[in-house]
Amino acid sequence: MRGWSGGILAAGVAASALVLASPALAGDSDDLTADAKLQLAESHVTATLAPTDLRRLYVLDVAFPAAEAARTYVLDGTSGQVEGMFNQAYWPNFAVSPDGSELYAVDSYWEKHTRGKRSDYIVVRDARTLQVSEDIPLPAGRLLIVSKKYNFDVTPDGHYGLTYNLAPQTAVTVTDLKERKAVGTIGIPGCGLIFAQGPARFSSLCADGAIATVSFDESANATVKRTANVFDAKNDPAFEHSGWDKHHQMLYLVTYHGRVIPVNLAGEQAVIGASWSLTSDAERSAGWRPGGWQISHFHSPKRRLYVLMHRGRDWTHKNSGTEVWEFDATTGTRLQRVKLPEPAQSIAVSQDADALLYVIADSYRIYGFRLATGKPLYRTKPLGFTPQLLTVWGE
Amino acid sequence: MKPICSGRFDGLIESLSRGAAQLTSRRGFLSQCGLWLVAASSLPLLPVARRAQAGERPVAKPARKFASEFANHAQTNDPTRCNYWRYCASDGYLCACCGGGPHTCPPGTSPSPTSWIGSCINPDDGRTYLIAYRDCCGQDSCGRCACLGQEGDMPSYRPQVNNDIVWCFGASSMVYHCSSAGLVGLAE
Repeated sequence: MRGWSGGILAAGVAASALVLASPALAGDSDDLTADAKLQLAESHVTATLAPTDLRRLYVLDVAFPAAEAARTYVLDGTSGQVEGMFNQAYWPNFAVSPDGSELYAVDSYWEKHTRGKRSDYIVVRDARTLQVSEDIPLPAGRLLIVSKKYNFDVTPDGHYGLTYNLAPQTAVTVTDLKERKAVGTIGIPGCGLIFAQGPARFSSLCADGAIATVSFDESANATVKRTANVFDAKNDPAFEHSGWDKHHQMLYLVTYHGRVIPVNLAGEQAVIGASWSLTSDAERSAGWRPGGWQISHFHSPKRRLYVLMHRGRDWTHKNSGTEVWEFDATTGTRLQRVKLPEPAQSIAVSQDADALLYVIADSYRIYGFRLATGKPLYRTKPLGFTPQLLTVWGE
Repeated sequence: MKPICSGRFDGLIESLSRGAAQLTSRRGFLSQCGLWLVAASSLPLLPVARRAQAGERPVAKPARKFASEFANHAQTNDPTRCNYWRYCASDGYLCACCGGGPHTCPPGTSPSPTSWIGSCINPDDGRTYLIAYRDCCGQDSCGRCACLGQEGDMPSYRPQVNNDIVWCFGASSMVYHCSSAGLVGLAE
């Protein structure tokens, strides 16, 4: 044993001699004074992300088996490489500012981990350093629910953050993201979810199948205009993660049975378009239907809708998809079926011209596909505990 | 119901139950929630809504022994498995795998005073029983025996029939640990 240690020491001395004989390498910055440095010393620096671009991918891991351990991973969507991570809190939400400079995490904390006073915040981070710049309190709280993307949204101009609550009335808290403060809460009785489509306006889906559009002022005083029933909420409800084209203010409701109902949200009251089906009669007979968690996503530049599909019976709306179907949302024409190497729960699409399809597979691997070819570009190793939601900049 | 997806992804969606705000007093919360949140003392009220929900199912099932697809695959011996007969509408981690049981919260947790109600068929006698799905709250996710029920599950804009909401409303803690399934009585 002693002889073995001596051998290691001898090797270490030899290595040190080599280091001392080498020219010094420059670092960006470090914590060593000049006279304390070896001739060769690595600087220990902290990486900074490149400016947000259309291929950046954010993966929200809700950490089901240990929900207090939720976090968001930052990936290079082109390669699948992890570029960073930050902690989130209990059943969180996440969004990127429209200009790409800030990240918003909607988090709930208890002062003693799972005990004590609860506090809810919109946590603002710099998109390149991931450092927290502000914790904006949400004094009215927020709904705790297995994370759903549209329980939080940011108005297209980046001015307001909108968070959903149920305590017990359904309501939306309006936060001025520029002034860094919550300005009020708006009741939306019988409705839920948030699709922010105007500088001071959002729409919600209602329990009776109507759509409520809420216009508000800087103090969260609001007027609400509801449509007649848009979909059959009892027998064929619309998925929460339906296709949302914020840029064109169009919501493409996808129903449990595979209907698509286009809804124009550009005005103070929603306007319903002609519905169409994801499936042919033969495909419906074969059991094809939408399902998963983040079951659809939208590519605004080309107005294309992407939907996770599987074969199953009724009440399999959370079953993983085996294929992703691509549709021209303006015509309802199917353009492509992408067969997945393994079933998946969530999808998203980059918003650039040569779009990539991102998939969270049941193995918790992230896949990237080139939509131009339908072929996979990469698959990552399993990521985190239970990755669940995908966000891209510019969606 | 069957356990959703095989493998590790069971944990996902597991539709952890239920939540609400510590920011609202228990009395205030219960008084405002109307029919969709039901305190233990009024449990028999909710099955009406739940059974009505079952009647809203979009498409008829193929003829089997029981109308419930879950009941056709259910067993009555092992409460640590997702197909235990009482779990027909249960979501989340089974308390029976976490130091508790079908009607017992594990040590260190407490039952929510509110609950879901399901109507489950016992395949041994073919009769329908009322089941109170009560979350045990106060510790983070148990992380064992994740089961997902989808039958009757609706989007969260219909919160009374959504199984993703954390359902510790009115409990001393809003932190979800596991799901129990206590017997209430015959539904007939």
